[in-house]
Amino acid sequence: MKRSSLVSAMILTAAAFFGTAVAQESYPSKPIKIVIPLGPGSGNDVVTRILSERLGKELNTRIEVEYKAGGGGGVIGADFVANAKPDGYTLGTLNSSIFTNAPVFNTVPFDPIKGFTQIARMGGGSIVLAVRDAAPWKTVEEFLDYAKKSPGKATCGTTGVSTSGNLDLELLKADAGVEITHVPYKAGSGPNIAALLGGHIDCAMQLWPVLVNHVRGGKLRPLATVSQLREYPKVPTFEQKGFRSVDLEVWFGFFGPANLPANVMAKLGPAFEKAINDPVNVAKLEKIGWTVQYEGSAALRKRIEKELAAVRALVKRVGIKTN
Amino acid sequence: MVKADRWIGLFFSLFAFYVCVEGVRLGLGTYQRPGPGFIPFYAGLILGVLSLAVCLWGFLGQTDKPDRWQNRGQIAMVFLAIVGFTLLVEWLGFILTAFLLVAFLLKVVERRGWGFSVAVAVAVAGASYVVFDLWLRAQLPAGILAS
Amino acid sequence: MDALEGLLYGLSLAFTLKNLAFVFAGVLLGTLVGVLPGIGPAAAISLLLPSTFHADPISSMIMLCGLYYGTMYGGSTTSILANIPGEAASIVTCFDGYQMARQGRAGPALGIAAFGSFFAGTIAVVGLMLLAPTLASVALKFGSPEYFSLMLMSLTLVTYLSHGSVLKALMMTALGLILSTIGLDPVTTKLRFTYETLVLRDGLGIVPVVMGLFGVSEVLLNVGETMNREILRSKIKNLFPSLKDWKDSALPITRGSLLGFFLGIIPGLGTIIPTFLSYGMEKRLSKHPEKFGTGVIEGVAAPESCNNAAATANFVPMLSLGIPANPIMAILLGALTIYGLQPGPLLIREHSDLFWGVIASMYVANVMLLVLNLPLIPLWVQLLKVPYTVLYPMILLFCLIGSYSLNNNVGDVIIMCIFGLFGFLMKKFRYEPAPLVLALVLGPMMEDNLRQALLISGGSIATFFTRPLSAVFLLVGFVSLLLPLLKLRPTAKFRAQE
Repeated sequence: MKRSSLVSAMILTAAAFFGTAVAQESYPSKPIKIVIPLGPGSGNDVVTRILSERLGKELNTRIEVEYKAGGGGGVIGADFVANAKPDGYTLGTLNSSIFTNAPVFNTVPFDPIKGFTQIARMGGGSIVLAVRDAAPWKTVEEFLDYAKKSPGKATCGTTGVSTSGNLDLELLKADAGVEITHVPYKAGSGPNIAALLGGHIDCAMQLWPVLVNHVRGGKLRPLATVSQLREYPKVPTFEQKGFRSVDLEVWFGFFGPANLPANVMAKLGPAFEKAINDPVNVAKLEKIGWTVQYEGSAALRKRIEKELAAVRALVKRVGIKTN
Repeated sequence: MVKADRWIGLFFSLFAFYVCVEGVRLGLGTYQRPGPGFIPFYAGLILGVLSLAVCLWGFLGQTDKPDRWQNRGQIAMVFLAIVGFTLLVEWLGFILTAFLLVAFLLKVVERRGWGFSVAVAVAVAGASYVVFDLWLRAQLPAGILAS
Repeated sequence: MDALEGLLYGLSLAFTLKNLAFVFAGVLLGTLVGVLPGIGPAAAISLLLPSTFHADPISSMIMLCGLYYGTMYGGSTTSILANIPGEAASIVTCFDGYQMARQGRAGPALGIAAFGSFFAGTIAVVGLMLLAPTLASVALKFGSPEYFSLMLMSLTLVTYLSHGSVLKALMMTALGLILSTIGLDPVTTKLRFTYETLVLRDGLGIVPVVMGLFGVSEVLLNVGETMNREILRSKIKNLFPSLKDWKDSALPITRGSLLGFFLGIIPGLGTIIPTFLSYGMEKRLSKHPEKFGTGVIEGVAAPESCNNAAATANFVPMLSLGIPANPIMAILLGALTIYGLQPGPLLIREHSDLFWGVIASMYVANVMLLVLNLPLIPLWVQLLKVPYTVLYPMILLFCLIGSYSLNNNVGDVIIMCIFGLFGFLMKKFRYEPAPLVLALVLGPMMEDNLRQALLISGGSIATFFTRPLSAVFLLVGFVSLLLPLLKLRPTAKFRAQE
């Protein structure tokens, strides 16, 4: 009896040793944690939840979602990812403004480019100028005309200063040469939508997935969009209307801390690509207003470099105050 | 009112002064367009006036007998225990830190026996781990036990 | 579909074995989460979310709503037993609930809280069912000026909240307002009072501050009083409310429910602010306002009914317009999106099964919660018999877990510790925490809406006075600020002391 238990103990120890040795070679050997920097119910959360099933299947492990909200627009969560051990078990679903807007307006504790390993970009959501259904303006020209005739009277809500919607609004004002009063709301899109539906503001520059159901329900009317809306092809893009520089969108990417090992990236890259391009996921995401547009690691890094520079330049050009 | 109000009033009026200075530095804006320092400045101003009033009252008005301060050492230790928990929890992990907290409070602060303290600490740490981490799946830090 | 037909249809959905099981699972878990301080409905729902992805959306929604409901019921338990709000909407319940427990009347307090919640919940579901779409569009008429004036009016309530020095209450209000400005300025993105700490950028969290000011400080106080802690367990009077308790509570429950329902419809007000208003209103209407804060049953009945009614009413803008009224509704909205439903103006029409299924299950959940909670009361009361030396380490541990799991951030725990010490010192020197908390809750909304209103009106302050509803709020606020100041002149106070 005693001997057999000794033998089994030895086998167990050996197995444990062998197990860890294998684990070092084959990633992943335990659940992968994906950090959501904006709290439950946010776009980051919804997107991750939709992708996580296929992702888990591809990687043959469980995907766990962990919330680390705070810091103004998700800076705490991003910082957590940047400082995690680069073993591939802590990743993050981070939104574009963390890289392109937050560092421009305030100091952030990480390097928006070198601080992370870029894994993949899911795609994003267009920013749309929308008015109430009962509003008199049917086209973007009519609205801008109104704004031109009574400078500063027209009001436009966004989810807050330094969000992509705000920057697009500033670009539109500069391009069209009109004065529109920016009304920043916070605590998500709810208050802004409520104010627009209640007729307290004239328009909103908002993320399409936030607006889509109100547009489908006939309560809001889109006047112009940053990128073409598949469901509403008649809504013109800002570019078509001659406002070329109004081109900022919100997108989501998947990131790890800097210096993820090559064998980890070799697993993660294809897994994310397959999960993002999975037709079932694409259908789900597009139904709720997101545009799926996969980009790999290198392309994502280039995009961030480009957009960060663009936001820095536009802040200078349009004259937005930063700290 | 208690006698200590004299010093509390003074302290808060100095604090209010600091807040007002910060408010001005942040920018007051105008009544038509308040700046980021608007609310802090005016709230600071009100706090300053009220604190001075409390301070004066402490000198001029009648004062009650102050509360007695018993067990000062124990209060300090309880406070340090929760601060210690906060600083250690991410490193040691939840279960170990919870055990240490409860054991420390019972053994050192309340001077219970070793056996009792350790038994309760094990039970509380274990039960809260089961309830919060396993049932409710709260994402408590695993700490060094995880690796 | 008219309401009756819809309800019958909904009941047919709710009364399947599967959905009954889902409701029960939700309310049971919700009660547990509500009872445990700190872990609030938001955290619990988000933790449960992944497990619902493969279930059918209606059952999942039913369970999540049941969970939310359960937390609202359970939240009062620790407020009454240990002065720790089980979730943020139960702060006000601490004022009189905990005092009742100290007098050995924890049972009646818990009983009234459970029954008041049941009554309020049921009334609010009826309101939700009959009036949802109509009321939701009325609530949209609430613009920034109205929000600001309502907040200002609510702030004047501090004079009713305190039962000590009005001067000190006002001082704490000003301090609360200052603390509420910590973080990123919403209009300029300037950082205010953040001192290079990331946690502070989003402002001080209400939950860690409240758990510190109420829960931790109470433990520190009790540790400092060797005699007092034994009183807690010595005399436990009756377990359930007496006839007089019922009589005293009937009107407060009704008023609390109605107030909670109507304020809950307005997006953004959430469940905390209505409870403060309801408490203030009861104190104003009471024949013995001076007894509030010393353990009167009205002080438990009204706010507990109010928060449950408000919690249900929060569903109005969410279900009928797709606007999340509070963070929990935002999560439920996200959940609906993940299930592939489209929350928005079309939800009630296109997914009537979801709408009526949820409504019907709310009735069921209310009954279940009452049945579940009443037998628990004697059990909770027994908890008070546990020696305090064993109880308080657990209380502290729960507070620590709760504040950590809010954002999984140690920063929030540090905030709780600091406010625990601060709250202890406040009580020692007879400053009350309630005005500070109220100002902290109201401050950010007040500032945002002030600045939004002025941006919209082009800088004209007249906007607050010319809009009728806003003007009414300001007037009420002005009167309620002046009345007690006139009554509580220092001379009168000295005379009372002699």
